[in-house]
Amino acid sequence: MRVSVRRTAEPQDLSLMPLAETNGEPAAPAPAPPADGFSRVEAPMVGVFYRAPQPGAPPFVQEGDAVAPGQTLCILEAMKLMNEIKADSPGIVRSIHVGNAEPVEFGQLLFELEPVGPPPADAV
Amino acid sequence: MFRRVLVANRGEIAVRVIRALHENDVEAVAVYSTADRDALHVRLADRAIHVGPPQASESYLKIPSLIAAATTTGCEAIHPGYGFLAENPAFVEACADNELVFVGPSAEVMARMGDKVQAKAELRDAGVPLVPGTEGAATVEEAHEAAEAVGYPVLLKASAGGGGKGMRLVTEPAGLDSAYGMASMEAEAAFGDGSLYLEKAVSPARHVEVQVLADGQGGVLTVGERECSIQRRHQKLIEESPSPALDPETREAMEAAAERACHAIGYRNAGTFEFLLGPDRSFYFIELNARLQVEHPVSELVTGIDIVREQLRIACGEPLDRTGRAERRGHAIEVRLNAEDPRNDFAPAPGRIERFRPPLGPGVRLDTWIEDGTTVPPHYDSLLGKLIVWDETRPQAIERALRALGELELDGVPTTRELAIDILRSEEFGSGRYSTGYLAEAAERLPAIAGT
Repeated sequence: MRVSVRRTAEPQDLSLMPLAETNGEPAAPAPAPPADGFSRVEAPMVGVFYRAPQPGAPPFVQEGDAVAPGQTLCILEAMKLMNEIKADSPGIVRSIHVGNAEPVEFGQLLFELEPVGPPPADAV
Repeated sequence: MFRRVLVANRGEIAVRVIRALHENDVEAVAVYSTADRDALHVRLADRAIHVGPPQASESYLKIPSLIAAATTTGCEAIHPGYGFLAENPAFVEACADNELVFVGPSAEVMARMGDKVQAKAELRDAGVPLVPGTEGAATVEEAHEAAEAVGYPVLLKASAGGGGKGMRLVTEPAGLDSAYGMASMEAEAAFGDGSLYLEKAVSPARHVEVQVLADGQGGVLTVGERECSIQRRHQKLIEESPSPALDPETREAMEAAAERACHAIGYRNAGTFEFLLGPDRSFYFIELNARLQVEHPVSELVTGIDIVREQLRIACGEPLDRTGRAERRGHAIEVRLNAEDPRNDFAPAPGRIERFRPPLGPGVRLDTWIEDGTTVPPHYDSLLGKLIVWDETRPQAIERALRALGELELDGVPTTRELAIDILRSEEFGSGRYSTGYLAEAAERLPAIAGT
């Protein structure tokens, strides 16, 4: 899961920022129920969310993109290690819930994907 | 002082550290696993970060998540509490690599003291007494010689061992040969290494420990001793200070040994030197706990020193105000309240706390994370809280502890409350003459265990 991707960090003194502003969201908001049939991609760890492999590069995915299993959706950085978060099933990115370079907690909703592929066998 | 500190722990110690932070105008960032979403420490902190699922290995022990929680919230330091990562040198190094101050000793000293052989060698060089015996593995002839030198009874122990396997108590020379043979075979079977070493058997032994604060700039303060002999399989249940077993000379010698050791090993922050105390008042170093301990409030109540505040000040680079031996007054007793069933071999008893009302009134402190309706998850330590009382004299402190335990309402799960009452009322505890063997020996007389 680790890849060597570098980013140039903007030095900023986070300790001087009020706690409420160091993270855009209140701690662990109750996630909205997913829209019908959408699959949720949640943060498997604490880290900083990056949409692109490096500053200025195009994002891994945009809303509306179709993704294949194993395709990288984003990077979570923890302890200066870049952890790639990948799609585990095919789908279309319907929503992205975190802004670039924002910190995320364990279990926080990152993406919602609309599954694609052959309809389930029990579909009418 | 720091502006913002991450508390990398849960339960009562997370609450304790958050209180110290707030009293020093420091913002507290808590971490929690999914099982602790509603826990008290999460609500007391200024901010809380969800770090993982209930399993500790994926949450409270997951170094990258804890470091990321600290760096993404702008913390300057991490307080580890006790347990979890508190004595993990890799965590201390990860803090340093990410420009975070670890509130505790350096990784290097922690690693050296975590190696028991290394720790004992360094302490011996500093003139701290160790249990007399052979320096390493001994032949049966060498064992005979050493036993004569240190005096019977002696213990044979497996060099590779632990857990009592390959261990034999020998009370007289005639028993040594057969004990050596059996212990060696047992050790060979258990560890693939039949080599044995020999130690003087300290019996009956008491467990007495010295709390220290060291500022890393040459200042060392000894914060008195704690008597911790009321234990069950090395799990302490009741601690008190001062120890009823120490005379002033022995106390002074023990504190002097701890102070010497701090200088010799270059110790910094809070630590505890554990000693075995023999019936003849000889004492021997066992190990150094390079962290805050569960029973630290006992020392706080007799000295008036806030040990967690001092830890934070030391971590900020401030020198100690006072060095030498801390002044102390009166007597303090701590009772651990565990979610355990004493009638069922102390099986952990997670569940829902249906009713909780803490005791109040003079001289009573209760450090806990429990509230009405708290669910005690099965994933962690069974410690619900600690009742600590202070009074002028030991008999008064015992009475006060009994009064407070009588007031305490803690329903919903089995706890060690009744057992503590039985022990505090016992003739042995009242006399102050008890050893680490007390609980095993007295179990059938104590209603909370025997069920009578």
